[in-house]
Amino acid sequence: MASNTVASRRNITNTHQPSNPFNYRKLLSRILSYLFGIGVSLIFIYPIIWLVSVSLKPSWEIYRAPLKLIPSEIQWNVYTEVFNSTPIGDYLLNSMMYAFGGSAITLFFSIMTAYGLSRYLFRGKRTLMLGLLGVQLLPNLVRIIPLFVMMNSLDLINTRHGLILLYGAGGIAYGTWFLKGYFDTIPIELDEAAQIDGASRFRVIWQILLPSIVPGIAALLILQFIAHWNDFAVASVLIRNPNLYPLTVGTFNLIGPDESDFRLLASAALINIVPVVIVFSVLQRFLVSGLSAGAVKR
Amino acid sequence: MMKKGLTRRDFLKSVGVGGASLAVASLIDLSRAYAQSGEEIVVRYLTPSWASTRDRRPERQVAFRGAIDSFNSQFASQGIRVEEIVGDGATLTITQEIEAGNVDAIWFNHGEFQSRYGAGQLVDLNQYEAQIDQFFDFVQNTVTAPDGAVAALWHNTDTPLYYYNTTKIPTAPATWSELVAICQQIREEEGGNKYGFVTPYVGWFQVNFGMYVALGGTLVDENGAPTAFTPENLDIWRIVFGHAVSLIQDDLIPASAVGNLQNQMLPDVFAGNVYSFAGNSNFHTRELLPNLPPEEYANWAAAPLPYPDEAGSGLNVAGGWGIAAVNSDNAAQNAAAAAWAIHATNQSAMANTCLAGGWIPTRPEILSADPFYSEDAFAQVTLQALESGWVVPTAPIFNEMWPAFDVAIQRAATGEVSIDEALSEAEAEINRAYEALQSS
Amino acid sequence: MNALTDKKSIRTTAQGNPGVLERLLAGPWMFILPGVLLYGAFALYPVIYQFWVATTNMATTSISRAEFIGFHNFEVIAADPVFRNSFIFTIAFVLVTVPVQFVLGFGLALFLDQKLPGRLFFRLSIIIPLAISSIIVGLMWRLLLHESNVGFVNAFLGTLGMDPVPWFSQAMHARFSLFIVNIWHAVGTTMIFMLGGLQTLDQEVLEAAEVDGATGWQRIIYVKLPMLRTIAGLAIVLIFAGTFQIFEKVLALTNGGPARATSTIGFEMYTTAFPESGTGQLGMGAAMGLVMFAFILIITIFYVWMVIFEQED
Repeated sequence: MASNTVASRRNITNTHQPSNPFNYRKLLSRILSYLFGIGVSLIFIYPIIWLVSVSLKPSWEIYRAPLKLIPSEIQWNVYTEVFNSTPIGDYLLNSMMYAFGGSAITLFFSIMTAYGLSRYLFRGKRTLMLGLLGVQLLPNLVRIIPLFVMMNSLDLINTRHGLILLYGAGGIAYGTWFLKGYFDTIPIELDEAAQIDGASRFRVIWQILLPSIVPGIAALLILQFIAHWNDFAVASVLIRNPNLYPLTVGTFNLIGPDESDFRLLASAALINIVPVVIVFSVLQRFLVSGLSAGAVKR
Repeated sequence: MMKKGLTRRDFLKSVGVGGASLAVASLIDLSRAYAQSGEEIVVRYLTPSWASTRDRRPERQVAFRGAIDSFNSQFASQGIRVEEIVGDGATLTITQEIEAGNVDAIWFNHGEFQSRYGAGQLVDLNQYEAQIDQFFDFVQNTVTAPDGAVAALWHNTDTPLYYYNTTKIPTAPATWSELVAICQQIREEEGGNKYGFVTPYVGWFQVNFGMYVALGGTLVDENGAPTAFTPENLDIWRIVFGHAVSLIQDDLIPASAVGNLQNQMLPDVFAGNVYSFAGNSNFHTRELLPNLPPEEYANWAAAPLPYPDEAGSGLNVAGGWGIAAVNSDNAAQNAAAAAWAIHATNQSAMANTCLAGGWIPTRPEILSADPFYSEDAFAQVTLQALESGWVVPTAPIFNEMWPAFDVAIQRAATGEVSIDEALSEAEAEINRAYEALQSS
Repeated sequence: MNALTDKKSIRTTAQGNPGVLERLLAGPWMFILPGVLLYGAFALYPVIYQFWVATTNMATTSISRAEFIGFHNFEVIAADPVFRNSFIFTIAFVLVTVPVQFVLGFGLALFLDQKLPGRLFFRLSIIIPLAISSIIVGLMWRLLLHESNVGFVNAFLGTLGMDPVPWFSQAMHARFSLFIVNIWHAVGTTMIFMLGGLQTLDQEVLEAAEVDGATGWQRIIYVKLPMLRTIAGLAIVLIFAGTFQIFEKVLALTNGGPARATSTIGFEMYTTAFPESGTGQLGMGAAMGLVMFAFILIITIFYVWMVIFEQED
């Protein structure tokens, strides 16, 4: 069937362009497509490559030869300096703790809630689901001030667990919607069969459902991880102790108005960017399918 | 039925695991707080990371460690020791930590000396023999409260200077008209990307306040009400704004200056596009050496800022940071905190920490006697400029005037509005802020 | 926290007949309640609490001594030309960004929807900026767009014989800088959404259109776009919500300047409540936050409505 339609399409195009120019045109459009693709890719990637170049140049060359990609002398010392003389290593660890802790809490509660919404029928279910769908659009920024006041009175300001808790709780609405789509793809007969065999509901979730939605869990975990890793607004308000800064806040404060070192800025920015871009690139299949699948299902 | 029981137990188990992990996380913070209590008197000293042993520059780490260690060894016999708490230096953090009773001494901006003392947060250091007469005159005036108390000890200061490339500008201009002539000459001779001068227009209005006062302008009256918009004062503002706007609109300095903070104009200097600039005696002196090509650094010199021709001389705005003891209702604790504030600003501690920070000390004796400062050309120019040092008013409304004028001069310089319109916008905003201040 | 939510559920249910608790722990609520309560406490309650904060004179120096002052904060921000300007700028910025970002994102999706070896690489490079934090994007583009001939972009334009562009010092240019940096950062989301939609399209319908002699453009506008109606609507809603709350990029890129020309509602709110120095006006900031909330709420209602509409369609 598939080969049939491809063949028929080829026939049609052939009849429209009867003679030789066909291959010629195709080649031309290929070349144009590649030129376009490479141009677009450069627009998105070159700024990052340029940052690498800036971080390795001698300081004065940054200002005198901004276009020069390969420095006259490659100086790696900026990275050892940044790690030795700034707490950026601590910031990295903090960011990991916050991002991972927050994602883990979100994941745990989202699995439970999504399971409940996917496997039970009850009054108010549709309202609850639409409610969750609506509130997940609310950005943290709109509630940043009441959050600050609230966390202040709960004594959760300047604490690691306060920020982790907040990150974790804030992702539940999105995570629930995200995972419910995956739970829905597994036939309920599978659970029922297991339950007849005497397995508890938790056993069913743990041993039967979770293994089959690993791609969804991975995608949610990575998306949440990246979101928390990249958060600035909430962390900058709730964390005012430099020992507890995540990487974004630490970097922004490292490069205040009292600092003009482009190399420091470039290297610190790269330390922010590189881990998350690597995770993103390696796992992009999960992410892209997760994102668009979630979107299409809605 | 049995199924139900199992489920509940499993549920509670999972909840328990989650709760326990959170409890462990909070215990870590608790244990840290617990470890701080002890028998001796500990001065918990809150300081921003850039003025602490946690700074990224090793010389600062060493200098601040030295100040703390020397205090601790000197006061060990009395059971007093200081412990550094690194913060972000923000007003909000300092207020919160003081209110929570978490700190005994603070490092903070000179603009808050009087307001914090007035709010009862600080100890009068005069009671503990702070020898304030050893500091610059403007320092003495700023730290002394109306009741004669010493609110804080000013640790380091800075003031704007005129930095210039001596190969292009052999002698520094003294007045604005001389400066403009130099700028015009360089535009005519070189043109293109090359400019004679640059100054930041964002976050740098203090320079203009100094020149405005030098021209006879007033900012606030003794009741703290703004006085900057009387007809006479408006005429003075027109001189100040006119100079800043014409520099931009006559293409005498790079147009980017309008949107630049003090660090953002520097790439033009480093690129060799600009031959002189208004810079900060601490920050910009520090930045020149590592970022200019090695052979060019020796060509740079500094002088006091050019001033308006109508004024006999300029006023150079001094700012900076100080250390104070937090009032705790515990006499022994207060005395220990005051001892630390005095120790950290004594002759040797101040000389070491200021040198490491690249800052100007507030004791003139260090500037004239210390082997480094007495021979450093930039430091000596700063000393000269600080002889006409001036400190901005501490009235609460002044905190609102500063950003309003900052925006007004940018609006006028980009040509969005005329100078008079920009001034009336600033006036409206300041009046609104003043009313809000009165009502709260 | 877990223990707390659990306790709360017991308390609220134990007041009724004892069987309710039993039923509750067996039913769906046992799974749903912990997550919903946690979310409610840390994500929804603050939104409600915001209404109270906005009617007080709460400041960072007097959190515990806040007094009720009615709608005074709203009156002040409504009369404040600075806030009004940032409000207008935010709306205008959103109105320009939404169509441009959608068209560009859809165009890139169409480009990547063809069978081109290496397209996975092209796709990856377009979505890489999505992984970078807004604040870092702002910092790095401040470097790239540095004015005169020092920044990369101006130096590059210089080799093409163009004059340096005043990226940050002229109001309109600064707004434009913010606009392109935002597009650079976020266009990947739209692209992924639309590409996901394109790849689910029924090939036979497309082929039928081709047989009928529809040209490439006609197929996109009359066949593909109508078929992608729902997902395009979702993509537009998400661009809308994402652009409306722009804050970190403003902070790092232009700091609201020159002369507050690029100040957005989010930026104004943050700097009012948490200024670098001086006292933060939390009550005033909360009032600004509510203005932002009102807009996001409208978008949200529209979004939920679309989902219901799609499900019943």
